[in-house]
Amino acid sequence: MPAKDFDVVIVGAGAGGAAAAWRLSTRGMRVLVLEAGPAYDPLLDYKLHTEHWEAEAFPSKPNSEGRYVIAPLQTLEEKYSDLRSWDLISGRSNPNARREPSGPGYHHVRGVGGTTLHFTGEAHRMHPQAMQMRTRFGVSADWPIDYATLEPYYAIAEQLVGVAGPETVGDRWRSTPYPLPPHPLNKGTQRLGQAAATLGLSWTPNPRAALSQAYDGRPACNYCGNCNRGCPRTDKGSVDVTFIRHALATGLCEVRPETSVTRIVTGASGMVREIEFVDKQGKRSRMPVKRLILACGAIETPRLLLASADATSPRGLGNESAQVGKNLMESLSWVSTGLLEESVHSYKGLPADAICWDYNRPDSIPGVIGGCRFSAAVHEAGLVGPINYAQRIVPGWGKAHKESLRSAFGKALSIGAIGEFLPNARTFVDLDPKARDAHGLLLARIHSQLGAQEILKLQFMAKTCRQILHTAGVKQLAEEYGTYDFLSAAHVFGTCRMGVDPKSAVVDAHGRSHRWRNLFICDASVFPSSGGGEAPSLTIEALALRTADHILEAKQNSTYT
Amino acid sequence: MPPTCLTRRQFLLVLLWSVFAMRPSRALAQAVPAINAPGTGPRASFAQSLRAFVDVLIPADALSPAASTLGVDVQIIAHSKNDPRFRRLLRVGFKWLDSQMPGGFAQLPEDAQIRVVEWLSQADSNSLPRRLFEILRHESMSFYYADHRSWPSLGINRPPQPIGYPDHTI
Repeated sequence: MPAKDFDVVIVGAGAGGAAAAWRLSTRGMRVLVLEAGPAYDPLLDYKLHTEHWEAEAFPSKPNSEGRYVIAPLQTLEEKYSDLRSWDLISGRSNPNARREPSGPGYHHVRGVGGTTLHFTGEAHRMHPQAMQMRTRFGVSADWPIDYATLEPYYAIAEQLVGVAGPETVGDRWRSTPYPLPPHPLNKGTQRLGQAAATLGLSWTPNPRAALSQAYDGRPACNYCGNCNRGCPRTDKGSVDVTFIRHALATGLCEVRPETSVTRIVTGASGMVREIEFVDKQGKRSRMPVKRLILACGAIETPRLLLASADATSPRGLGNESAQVGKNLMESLSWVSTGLLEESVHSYKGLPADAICWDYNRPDSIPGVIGGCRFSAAVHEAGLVGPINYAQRIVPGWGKAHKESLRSAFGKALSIGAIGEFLPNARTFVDLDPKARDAHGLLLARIHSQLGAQEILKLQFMAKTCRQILHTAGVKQLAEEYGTYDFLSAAHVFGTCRMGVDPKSAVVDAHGRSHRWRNLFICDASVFPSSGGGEAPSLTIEALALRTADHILEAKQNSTYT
Repeated sequence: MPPTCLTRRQFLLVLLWSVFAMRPSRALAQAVPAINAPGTGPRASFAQSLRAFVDVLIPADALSPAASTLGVDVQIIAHSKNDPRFRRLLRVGFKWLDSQMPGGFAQLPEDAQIRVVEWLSQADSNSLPRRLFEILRHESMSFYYADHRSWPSLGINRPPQPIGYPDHTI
């Protein structure tokens, strides 16, 4: 299809871009999705059926890993030594005096499907109160829409993905039940549930983007425990096998992998006019756009806007509010692991199959603003095979080590917590002044500073994780990992905040740029607050569906063209 | 951080240590007097010493084979060819280790090899011996337990897919 014929160009094929592409193409619009990363074939690329499955992380392919710069992180204080990461083999995991990036620091997959390709697949709705942090608690910013506005879109996304969830809804009311029943809990998770009950905590099946029954032409999950390594069965609801598959089936959507957009060019009358991009063969081109959706995530979307500065927007495109790149919220997480005295075959089953929402409401942790959640975490901790047991939690060597490993295998129990990150002036994304990618574009630079609230929250999360594990029968901890001493962000938010006021927000309540009338953002960069540990993919999808509906409505009214 | 991921600082520390400490270690000789015994055959090569070392880390027992039987030493050497820092650490580390005993590490009796490895495992955390031990332990465990022949004694006999674990609740 000639470029001029596309009604909408979407940059990024992750949760937001895919959901928008599906909604628009199934409603008759012609959509082009440009994705910087490669396409993955679940059967060919994922290696869970091979002998070396455990030694392989999520498979890297050419262009599947973005490059970033992490600015120096904060100095660690000895008074928080109980928040340092450690394991029985190596001792302190970060022996340095500063917080360090864990691997790349920002864990992101570039590819058709984006980070949903390797996500665990929790399918969460935001807590309604977590969308009103400014009004209720005087921090972050309010969402310009409320839970009721987003609820119908959550329901649509859940149907597309095939979310398996419980009947209980807690603080998140629902207009329709989950499309699929919840998954049965692993033996290890059942043990954690008993401990939670002893402590007076709730413990319910976690809403999961993994099929508990065959659905939409995809088979049910077979509980291999390795969602994060890529699901070869396609029962995990990553957007490549859900939204994008159905968008492509319309015949109105085209996806071009390994195509990097390097610049957005503005035109007259408050409209963006075209994009510059580099295709798979390395050829640089320009393409006119009628409507442009950015869905590159909370690091790359502000990078592209800042890198597209021109005479009309010297501080970066859509940055009249000076908020592009600001308000970054990263992941606040903690995982404690110990060994039970008997095997529960904890490497089997669905990751994160149960959750405790008791402290998710923003005012539920005593003395702290912002919530958190707790969930079964042994699979996400990677304790799914003998290599990780041997390298991390069973010390020693020689014949004694072999025997210890045999005895320990299947006994690991982990519980994890994820908590709210409040925006602060020292946590943001800008362009590195020197480092560039292969196309000459300046790299994004991530700055992050944990505030006092984050450290208090981490302390609560760590204390509660330890308490649950000990109550479950763990006599001695074997490993703990947290984001006090490591920057390890899988969920990042806030760098193109949405809001009603153009002076303090980059996009409006529909995800449309306050400045450029045909420019939209559909990713977690628009989140005004991070939520109390909710996984963001379902909310990104719901927001993108709503933005798509706004575009469809505007098209009918001949707006933005 | 996995032990194989040597930071530049750690790597420089190790190299610096190796420059000043490339001589017989009195502490090691005191801990393992047997290393002073003359060798009984031709001096061991790097490959022989590595093979002996990984078999001390993961020896054969009644239920599963030794590391070298599964080619762990060969895989470590192959892996080092793609990682210059790891390759350099191995080369310098075994040069130092083999220099501590007349016939090299592989010539030592098994009980002396075990005591030498034990000494390495307790050495200063920024020293060459300790880094050598940690990296070889890490790599050996990775290659050994990635081999299906090591699995039966752990109660598993296949990778997670294509069957999965339908019995996960019991």
